Amino acid sequence: MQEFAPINKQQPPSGHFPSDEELAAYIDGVLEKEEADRITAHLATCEDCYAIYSGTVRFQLEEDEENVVVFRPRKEIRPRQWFSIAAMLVMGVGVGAYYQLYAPLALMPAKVVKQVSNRPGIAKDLWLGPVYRGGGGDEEVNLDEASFRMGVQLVNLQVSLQAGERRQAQDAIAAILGLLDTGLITEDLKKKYVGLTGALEDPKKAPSSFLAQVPGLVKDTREVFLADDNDLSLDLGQWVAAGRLAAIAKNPAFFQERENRSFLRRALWRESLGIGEMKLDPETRESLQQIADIIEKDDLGASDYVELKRRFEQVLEIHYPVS
Amino acid sequence: MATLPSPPGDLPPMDLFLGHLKLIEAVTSHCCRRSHFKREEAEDFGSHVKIKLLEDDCAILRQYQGKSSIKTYLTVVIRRLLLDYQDHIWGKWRPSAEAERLGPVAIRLERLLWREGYTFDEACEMLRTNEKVEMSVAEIEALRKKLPPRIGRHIVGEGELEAKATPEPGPEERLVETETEKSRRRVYMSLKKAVETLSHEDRLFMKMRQEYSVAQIARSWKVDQKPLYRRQDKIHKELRNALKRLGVRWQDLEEVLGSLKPEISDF
Repeated sequence: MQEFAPINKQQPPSGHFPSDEELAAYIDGVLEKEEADRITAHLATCEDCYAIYSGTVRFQLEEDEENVVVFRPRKEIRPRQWFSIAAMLVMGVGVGAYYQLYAPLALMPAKVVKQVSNRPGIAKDLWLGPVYRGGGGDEEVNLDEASFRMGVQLVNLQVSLQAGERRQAQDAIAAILGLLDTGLITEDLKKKYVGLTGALEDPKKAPSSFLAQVPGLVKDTREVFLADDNDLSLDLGQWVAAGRLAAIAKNPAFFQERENRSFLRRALWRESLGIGEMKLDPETRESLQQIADIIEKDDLGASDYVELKRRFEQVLEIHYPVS
Repeated sequence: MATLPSPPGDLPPMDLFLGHLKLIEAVTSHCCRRSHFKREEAEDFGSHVKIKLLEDDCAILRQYQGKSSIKTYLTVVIRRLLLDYQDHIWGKWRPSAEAERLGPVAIRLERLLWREGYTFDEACEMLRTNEKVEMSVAEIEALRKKLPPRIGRHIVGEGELEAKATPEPGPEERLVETETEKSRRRVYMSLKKAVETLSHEDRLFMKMRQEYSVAQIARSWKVDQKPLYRRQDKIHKELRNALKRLGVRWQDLEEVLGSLKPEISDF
């Protein structure tokens, strides 16, 4: 009978065998780089450990696929919303104030990043986030995360194009396509994004020359992506991503702009009154409340920007974790 | 939220076990499904896992220090138990070098035939129907002929044994095989050498590409997928150059890989 050769007969696996917990920490992505590199080297050469690693990854992927971020069906205004509106009217809140709260808020990336995007090296500060959240974490998070993430990536796209960062813009489009994958009837829109990423390969054309395409893409994305006009998750994603960049740059202009200042207050009010679908978990609500309080100040100090950055990143970590 | 380490807390190990029983059962049943266990084997493995987790006053759970999430830890532990269990009941098993050279379908076919004891028809059906392998029965048959004969632990009755044809190829088949063997071996060894020039991370990536899409790897590595496509292109380029330096032409490689479409054939 022919002998069969073990894979690593001549070549023993690199490094020592990781313990189960080390391997689990490696899969969770919580190891220091040096330690992670050591395990990577081992996995590349040890078939047994690779089989355990791959089996665990397979289980997590299949489990994640069952819990993938999905589109919600379009919904009618719920009785709770009508009740809130009626309550406001009964309480004597005027029609003007009602419209202030209830009228759709539709931020556009170009506008929301206007105050923050003229800084050299800005692209390296973008919040890229993975397309999918990692495993684990069983707490209930009500914010429509797919929309929120889309908002973050639309800002990334806008900023990258403005900054002339071709690769970053393509990465943002890849993330957008990943998010669109979770939805239905997005084929045409996906083709447009794919077309843009292909066009960006042309070195003769400056990335900024594609900026004119963004508003159309954003409009179409909103149309297929949002459950209804009152869904603020996408706008909140844009606002938080842009706000974080402004906090990093210690740029007061973003926070002084009237529309930016009022956006958060209105969003928080609407959420607390049950207008629209957006529901916040307590941690996000607290962070946003803190941000709203800080930006009410006329003169923001260095420590305010530090706190703002921390709060923005707290919200992003919850809804668009990097690891 | 991202996977965060669960605090070890002061929970007694038994509570940890009971609190994660649902997960333990889900991982166990996933293992059984992926390993194509029969019902009795699945039940046996399920009991084996629980006994192992409970033995020595839940030693495995007591070892957990909270460096990873408990969920990932338990999944890794159960996967390791699966490996030990398979080695125990079937003996240590490795795909043959030939199957490795022929790619993932050959490895799977070899495993189905020699380790899991399926007949060729059953293995064919499983590959084509359950595992969506786009190969004709004739192509799979050609692949089977290239695999070295092996002895599995499948228990066969005397009557069945008498009716079975020898799995060894005949002398004529052997002669034909030897003619191409030398050149195939050279290509295979060159390919191995070329792969060894890659960084460990690139090698792990290539290994994963045999069974996962780029999007799945990106998800499990918690990175964006776009840079991974660029990395893949870079690796292919590096391998192409390394093979060229070793005097291997694309046609040689194509001949060795045949109609299989493993990741390696992309470059």
